[in-house]
Amino acid sequence: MEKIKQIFSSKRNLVFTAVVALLILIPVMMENNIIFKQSKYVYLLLCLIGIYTIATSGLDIVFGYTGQISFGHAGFFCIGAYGSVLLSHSEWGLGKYMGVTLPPLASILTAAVLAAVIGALLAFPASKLVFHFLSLLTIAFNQLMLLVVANFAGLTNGYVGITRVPQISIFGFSFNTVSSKYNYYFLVLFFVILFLIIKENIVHSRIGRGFIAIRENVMAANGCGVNIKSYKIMSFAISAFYVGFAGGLYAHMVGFISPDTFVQNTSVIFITMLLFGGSGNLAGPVIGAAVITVIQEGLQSLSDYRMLVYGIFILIIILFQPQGISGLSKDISGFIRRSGGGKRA
Amino acid sequence: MLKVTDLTINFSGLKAVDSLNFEIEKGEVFGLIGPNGAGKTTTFNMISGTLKPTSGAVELNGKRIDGNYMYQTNRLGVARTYQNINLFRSMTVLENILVGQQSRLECGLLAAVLRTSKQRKEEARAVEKASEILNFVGMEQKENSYSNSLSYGEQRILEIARALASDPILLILDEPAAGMNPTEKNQLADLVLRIRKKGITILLVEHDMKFVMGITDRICVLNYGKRIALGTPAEVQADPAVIEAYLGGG
Repeated sequence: MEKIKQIFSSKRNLVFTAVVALLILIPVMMENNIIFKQSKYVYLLLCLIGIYTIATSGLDIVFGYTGQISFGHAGFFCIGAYGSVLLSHSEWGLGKYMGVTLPPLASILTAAVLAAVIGALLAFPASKLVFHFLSLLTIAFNQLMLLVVANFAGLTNGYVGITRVPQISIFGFSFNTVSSKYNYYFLVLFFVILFLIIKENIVHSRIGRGFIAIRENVMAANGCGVNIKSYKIMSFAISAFYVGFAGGLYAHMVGFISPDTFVQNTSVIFITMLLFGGSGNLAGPVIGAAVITVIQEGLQSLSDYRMLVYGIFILIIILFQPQGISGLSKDISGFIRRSGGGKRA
Repeated sequence: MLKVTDLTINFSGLKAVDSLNFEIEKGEVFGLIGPNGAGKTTTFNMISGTLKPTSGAVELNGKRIDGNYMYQTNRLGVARTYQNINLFRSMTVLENILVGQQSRLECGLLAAVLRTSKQRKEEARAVEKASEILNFVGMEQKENSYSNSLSYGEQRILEIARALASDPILLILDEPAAGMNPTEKNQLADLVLRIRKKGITILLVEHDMKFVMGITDRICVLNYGKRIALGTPAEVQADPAVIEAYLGGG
């Protein structure tokens, strides 16, 4: 009881609980035809938002907290998606060559670990680079992953892609997007909450303070006992794990993967989501993922011109609201406090 | 406890520090002075691990520390402040001091992810210790202020507090009094002496002669990277070589 009281004493926890409650209520309302009339499309969109939230939160650990730019996170998304599919598909990868498959959730976890390992390997050279050199390296990494999955056609079926990706089921309870509508939504919601809590735990620990210290002042961080290289490697690995896991969830939801999903543009979209929502906090990636995913769907008809729209978006955000949308609430509360304080004085 | 032997560094031909020798005893306040460009900060950087000396050695209690990374030297018990303030600007005063404790905290990533009871206890202790340090330096009122909102003098004190957070045996202060007004300088002198009372050895560079002469036990004078004098403040002040270096020879 004491503990429950403690949880609700903080405003942040209260907001978090309220948002989660609302997200649980959405399917209830949808099933009772109050909103969206049980639309499968809306469920799919909500799942996508959740998946992008996990990915963008992962990017936030490297970009928002550790202050290292990455334009190549779609590469990790790719490792997670292809890794999980090749481990769980009966006709491809492990199933094709060895005749055994992993159950889809275990395959996602394994692929995410693989992404983390590759993230750590990438961070070895990356830990020596800053700014534009680092962005070039990460772009090259993204391109490399894309070329690997596009050209090893025997393993990945090249640009044709892999269809009939197995669906996640736990103890015979199936999470798919075809026969049941909201199962996958709750699965994604569960993982979003889990990953956000883990992120919050990390950034409020000694490790997270090390990340922020590197972002703020590398020299001083070093002088305070932060091993810059190993912290950067850790940051990249954690980040890659998040994005890899999101990639796995994506593959098993959509049921089809091809290299086109993991192009450079996807990395740019992750950055756009993060900058739009606001980096270096919990709510930013959630807001960014939600808004940009909806906009992306709305702009479907513009096809390639969408990147132009994102470019303008990023420009506006960087010029006028560098803290992102989540920074607005701080600005507003600061404004109210200032004007209120003026009256009192 | 700190022994510097034949310390030399070449910057593409220029010997910024040339065969420097000195030894600091445990518990003393040791000053390093000299005209601008004499190589004081360069010496500091070689001791703390920012620069790797061309030749020579730095030993801490008999253990070589030259060529270490800064984080390794910090773990061994050497903490420093900087001539140009290097604080974590978007962090609060308390958080700055928590980062300062990095070397002394043990819980790793897994403990952080799971928020184990050991990790939570360690965090609580760290916050408590940070508050104690803030009390010690007299900044307890500023605990939740952002470090970039502090005055210049307060930022310098916070750097010292952050260095103290790593439980150093040797504290290196690079021009701690720069930019301070006389009142702040007096408070700083008092703080340095209180830190020394805790048994922490102090090595400092400072331009304010009155400040240096007042608080140091021994002083080493550098000019053009070479040691020109070493002794108590009174001895150094009377040394003709020092007078010539500062006032210029006729």
